[in-house]
Amino acid sequence: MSRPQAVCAPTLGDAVARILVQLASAGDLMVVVGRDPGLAGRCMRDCPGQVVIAPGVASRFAVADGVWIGGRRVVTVLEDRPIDLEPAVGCGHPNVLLTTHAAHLTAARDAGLVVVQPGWPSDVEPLLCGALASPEPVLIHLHTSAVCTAAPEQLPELGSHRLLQRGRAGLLVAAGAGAPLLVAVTAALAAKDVQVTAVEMHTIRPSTGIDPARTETTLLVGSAGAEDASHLAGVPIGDGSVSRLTDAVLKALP
Amino acid sequence: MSVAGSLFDTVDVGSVAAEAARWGVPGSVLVACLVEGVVGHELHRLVVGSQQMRPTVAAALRIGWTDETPGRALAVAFGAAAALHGQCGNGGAEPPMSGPRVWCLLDAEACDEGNTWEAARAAVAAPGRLVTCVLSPPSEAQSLAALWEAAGWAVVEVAGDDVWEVLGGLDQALATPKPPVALIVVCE
Repeated sequence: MSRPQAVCAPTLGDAVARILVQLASAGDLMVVVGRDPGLAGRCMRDCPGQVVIAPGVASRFAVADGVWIGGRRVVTVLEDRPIDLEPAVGCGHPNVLLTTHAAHLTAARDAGLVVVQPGWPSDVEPLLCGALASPEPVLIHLHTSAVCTAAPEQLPELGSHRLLQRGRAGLLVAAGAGAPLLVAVTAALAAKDVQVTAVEMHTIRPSTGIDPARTETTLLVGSAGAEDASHLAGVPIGDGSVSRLTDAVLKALP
Repeated sequence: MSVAGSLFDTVDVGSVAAEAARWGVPGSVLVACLVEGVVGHELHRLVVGSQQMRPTVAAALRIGWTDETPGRALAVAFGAAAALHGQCGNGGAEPPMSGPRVWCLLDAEACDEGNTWEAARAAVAAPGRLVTCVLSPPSEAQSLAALWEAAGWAVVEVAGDDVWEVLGGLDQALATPKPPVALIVVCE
């Protein structure tokens, strides 16, 4: 499947707001929010009948379960504060949790949730639709980094990863805010005649051993044959400077 | 099975009373009335968060129902009501007695849960039709009715051992599209 040219939005939040309105107004989806609708603000304005306000975090997951029992697919928008995500896993119903808060990544790992970290706005739609079709609860974290590079041609598919380049000099792994930088750093390394294997992990399952909070702030670097995430070193993304990051990756490569 | 008119038109009071007498536990008249008159309807869902009524519901109902903990039941019911409402064209111009409804069974113990009241307040502003039946001992009925009223719900109080009163209360709940209705079922 080739990438549709029309799908373009300035930020990941804009992309998700557009898709939520599209799905909710078609009756395919209900959105559960707290006092602050956050990412669902546009949905609340354009199709208020499809948005349920549940102020308490504990009862919000129960309300989302009820929506599922009532026969609708459901997205729950989390507020920007740390919360326990165990109740979202324990219910046994599919639910898609949306957040921009990095602390939820650690909570998701602790709760054993599948974490999805889109890198580009145009990746949001296929990953959100994949998460809605998934039988298990999924947390989608939307980064707010301003770093922008062209998205890979290949569309992402929930549950897999994207191999951006093969090389023998080492392995680079990134997700979320690190994904656009991965593309830039891989190109900068290639210009120095260093060919690395570059992997974008937009879906992180607990079984991979990768900490989704780590991929949000670092590029993971290791040897080309690394089989275990614990053997990957983290190079901090910092301010997103490609030249500084490229130098740091060169030093970290085995 | 239709719930478009009065339940007295469709429910055989004698058979409901006989069925309830066979179970002989608090809430059995309510469960028998719900089984005969309401929850078999395709657009209705039943969420049970009452430990007292759970065994009777399990024995009586041949259709699907959702078993929840006392603290979660009302939030689950409220979400289901919103979902059913959205599926049926947002409830538009349908007559008050028809349309999808979610029935939630609680007891006084479930009303001690903070999450129940959090959901009760949120449900008032939410789309969907929700009826919560609360099994209450006589000593707590008045305070429970005041609490549900304060949360913004319409309150109907009935004697739990009287089939006519319970059917009348359910009729009243069916005729009230908004706000959600709390049917306080008083049982010894």
